[in-house]
Amino acid sequence: MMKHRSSLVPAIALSAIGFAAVSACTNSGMQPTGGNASVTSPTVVSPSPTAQIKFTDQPVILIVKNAVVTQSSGTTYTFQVASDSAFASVVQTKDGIAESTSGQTSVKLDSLAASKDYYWRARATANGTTGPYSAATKFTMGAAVVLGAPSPIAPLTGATTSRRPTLRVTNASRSGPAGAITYRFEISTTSAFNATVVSVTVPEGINETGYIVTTDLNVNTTYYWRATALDATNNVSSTASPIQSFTPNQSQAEALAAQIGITLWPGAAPTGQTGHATMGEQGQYGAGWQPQTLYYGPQNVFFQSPDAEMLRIFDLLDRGFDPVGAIDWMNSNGYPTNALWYPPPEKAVIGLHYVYLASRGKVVVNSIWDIVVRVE
Amino acid sequence: MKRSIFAVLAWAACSGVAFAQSPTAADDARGYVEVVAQSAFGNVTSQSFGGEVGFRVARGVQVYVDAGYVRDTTPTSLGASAQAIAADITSKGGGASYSVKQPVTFGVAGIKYLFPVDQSTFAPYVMVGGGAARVQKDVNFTVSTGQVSDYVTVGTDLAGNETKGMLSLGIGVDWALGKVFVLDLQYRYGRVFTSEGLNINRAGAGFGVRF
Repeated sequence: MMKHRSSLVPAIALSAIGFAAVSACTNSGMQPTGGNASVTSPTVVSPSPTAQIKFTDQPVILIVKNAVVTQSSGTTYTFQVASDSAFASVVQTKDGIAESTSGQTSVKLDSLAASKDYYWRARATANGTTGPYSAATKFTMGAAVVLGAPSPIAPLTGATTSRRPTLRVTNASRSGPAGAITYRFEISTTSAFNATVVSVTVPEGINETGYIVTTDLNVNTTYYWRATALDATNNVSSTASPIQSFTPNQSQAEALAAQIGITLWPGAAPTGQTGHATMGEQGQYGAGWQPQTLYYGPQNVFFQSPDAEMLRIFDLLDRGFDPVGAIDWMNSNGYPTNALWYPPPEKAVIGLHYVYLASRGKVVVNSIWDIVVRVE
Repeated sequence: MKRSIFAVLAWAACSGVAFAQSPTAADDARGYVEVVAQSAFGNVTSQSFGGEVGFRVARGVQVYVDAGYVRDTTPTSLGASAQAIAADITSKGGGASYSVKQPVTFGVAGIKYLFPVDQSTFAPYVMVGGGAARVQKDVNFTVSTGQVSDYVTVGTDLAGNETKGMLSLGIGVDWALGKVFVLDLQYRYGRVFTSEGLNINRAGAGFGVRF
């Protein structure tokens, strides 16, 4: 029996030797460099690489997609911002930021100096393991340029306008090394500007900047407009100007032009409010402005009245132009005319090919204009 | 799998009784030594190799030592973690692939009891033992861009090794092949007391000599 018991000693010794021998042959694979958990680098979300950030958009918020942590509990993040890609000059460190359960973790930076490039990165720590940093990501802080909101000049809220109004603002105030300023004019059918009809950018004018709408807006529709000053060089924009509304109205001439199927102003359109002239009715003073065919005796021809030329001249008079100004405007804006103004006291008529546009009572301003068929 | 193994072992035990007229009893010798090849199964199926030596200490009772190497015992959690990390690296443009293996080396000693079946060439047995096991977490990542360390810091959950105590239970049948050789049909259950706990099931055969 003693002999048998003595077998236990070599048995255990053999076991240990065998175990050690096999173990010695099986060291392979990666060696752990962290604690209990394995931790990947977080993924940069925002600011994205090479992002340009307005100085006024501070504080900058850094956002990462959470790291993969194999044994997650109490994962925290460290964010670093440096002025060089090697992170030798770290300007801000945000440590111990608790992981968000939303899948993305963020941190708000303190104010950064203007007009500089920055690099940022982040890493996660969990269960004694500090993961690698995310790739360094560059962003650029814009210049410390501040643009004030432009002030609307016209049209102001409640105004009625032509179908192609001129939007005007005073130039925006500015501070800092601003670049060239442009203005973005926006017109919308909603005050929230979620249905934009027009969005154009125009260079800055002297003292004020304007934009003439180039397409006809709908009549009797309320539109909202605003303007925003932009500094593309520094990627800076102002807040928008206070929102104004206006309603385009169809002038007498426009309504009549539409009735006879012509476009009154296919190119440049005059500005100014209507209400300075009245179309004379058919009667003792003239043939009236209703669409009709008239007869010109000297040449024995019938012609359509009114035609586009008559309506355009009337529309200009309606907008406050005087007769000479109206003729000049047409000739200089792509609507050539041979109209001649015969001033009072003799006549006070505008001579066209077949008719005169005669101011009733020889009153030129805010007058009634009659169509009179020429006889000579 | 387990069911079929038990069925084979039961058949072998019964066969031993049936052939009770055979010339040599399985537990006649002072001891034995054998090499073992097994199929290891659990979450993954792999192979196990090792050796076993035993010494008779009383009639039907042997002290045995079993040492071996199981090629892979990867649990589900290890593969899932590696897959999650590889996917994250790939999403960052690293183009990662990975391999996962968890080999185990072990050594146990214990008592083996052979059921008395006089004059039979078959000797069914049960055994229980304890020892230690070394669990190697063998996870490898390969990235197409940069270094693995650019993307992940690997913790002890995916790399390195730990040595923990091990409990081993076994059943089997020793089949005497003449006076010297023995064929051992066996099943072994091992429990390694790692932090997550690890079960190792092995079934196979040993071929040895008696002395």
